[in-house]
Amino acid sequence: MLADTLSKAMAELEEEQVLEQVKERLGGGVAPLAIVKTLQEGMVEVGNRFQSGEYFLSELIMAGEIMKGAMDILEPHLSGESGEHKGTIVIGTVKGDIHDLGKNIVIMLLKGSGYNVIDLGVDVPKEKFVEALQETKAPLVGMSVLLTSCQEAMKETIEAIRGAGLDTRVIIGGNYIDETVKNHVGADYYATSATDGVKVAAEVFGA
Amino acid sequence: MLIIGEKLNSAIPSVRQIINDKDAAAVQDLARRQVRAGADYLDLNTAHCNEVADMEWLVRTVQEVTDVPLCIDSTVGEAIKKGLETVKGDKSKVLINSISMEKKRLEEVLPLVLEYQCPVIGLTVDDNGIPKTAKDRIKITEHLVETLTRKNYDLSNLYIDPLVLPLAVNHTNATMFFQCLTDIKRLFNVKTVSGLSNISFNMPKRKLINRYFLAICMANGMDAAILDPLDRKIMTAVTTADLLLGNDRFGKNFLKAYRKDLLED
Repeated sequence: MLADTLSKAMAELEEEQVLEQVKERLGGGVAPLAIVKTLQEGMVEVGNRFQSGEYFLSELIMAGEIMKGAMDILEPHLSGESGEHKGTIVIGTVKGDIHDLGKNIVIMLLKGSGYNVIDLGVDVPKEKFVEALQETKAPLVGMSVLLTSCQEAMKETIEAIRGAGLDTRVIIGGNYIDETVKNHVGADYYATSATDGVKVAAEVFGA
Repeated sequence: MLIIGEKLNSAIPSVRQIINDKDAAAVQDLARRQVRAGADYLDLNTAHCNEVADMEWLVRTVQEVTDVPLCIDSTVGEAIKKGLETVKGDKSKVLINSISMEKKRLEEVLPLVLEYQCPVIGLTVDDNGIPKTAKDRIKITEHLVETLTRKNYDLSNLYIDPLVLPLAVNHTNATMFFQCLTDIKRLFNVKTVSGLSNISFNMPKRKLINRYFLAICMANGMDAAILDPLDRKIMTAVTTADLLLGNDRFGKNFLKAYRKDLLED
């Protein structure tokens, strides 16, 4: 159970309460980053409830919207501290696949957990992955795939990343993915649910 | 959609009995259960009892257990006045049920609406009775809107009830009603309200007809309904129609109702 009233309001999706409490705490001199952390605890609970089937997709999306609204209030006060996210992660759906639902869910949870997420979108060519990783120096890249026919695209993308001399950790996600697929394409981790993805990120970033 | 709980109406024999018996516990139980089920307003009607004196008792008794605003339901100015005087708290929240373009109603009830600046239900009827066509109902609505505008009344507090007539009498009565809702919302800056049970008068499976009627009314812009919030299926229809009509952001209310096991197939 969440003890903090703000975390709880976030987990219960009480939008007005969340925004009100964020303003109140800011006004009361609470450090903006501490408020973000409290919100993230609520977000993690939302993710858990989604995972367990208690919450539905639209509630997960709503949680993202509430978080966004809260961040809009907090951001001007985070200047100077704004670089203090847990780390950067690059994510995209591989070439040939245009499914973005799973990708967007995991992005929402990662952002909610405090990561800086670069979303490359869908049908992303391998060159674009490599380019983004060279640019951001992100230690973790996520590839989403739903179509079994796109396994080779995933394999080629990972080969391209390795070929460019990057030692980025690679996680692949999608509902048919398993250990065999992971080994075949040469990824480091795999996840079949958004919350598993967040766990892997925590492991990679030691957060 | 705004839900006006209809249970505390002396037209219902068992309710008439508990009012006559001054059975406060039974009245308060009905009030509490309707609020718990999602009523935004509680309708109070004592027309079949000792109307004026019992309205005072009923208002007081209900307000002992709930802060939900009341809908004072009477055709008699004296009873509405007594109800308003008895209400504690913000009297401008009381919904007056109702006025119309009937001369007597205007004379007795309109001054009270203006004095307390309450929301009010306006029936599309005048001294010639309930009009047969949508066009004539719009005309009465126009007269009501004009009358209230002249008195600087806030029209967003006016709930027009275009008066639904039974399908059993004329099979186009429902479509005519939907037409009224659409036209009123298009032409005037007012709200709309209706009861549900008239439509199914003298038909079998009345609740079924009422439920679909409600959903179609909502799709045609109805803002409020006088209904039985203890009827789980009708409340399910309200929640579901609000979801489908885009009135439920992220489906929050629907999903909340689902988790509380309030939705019934």
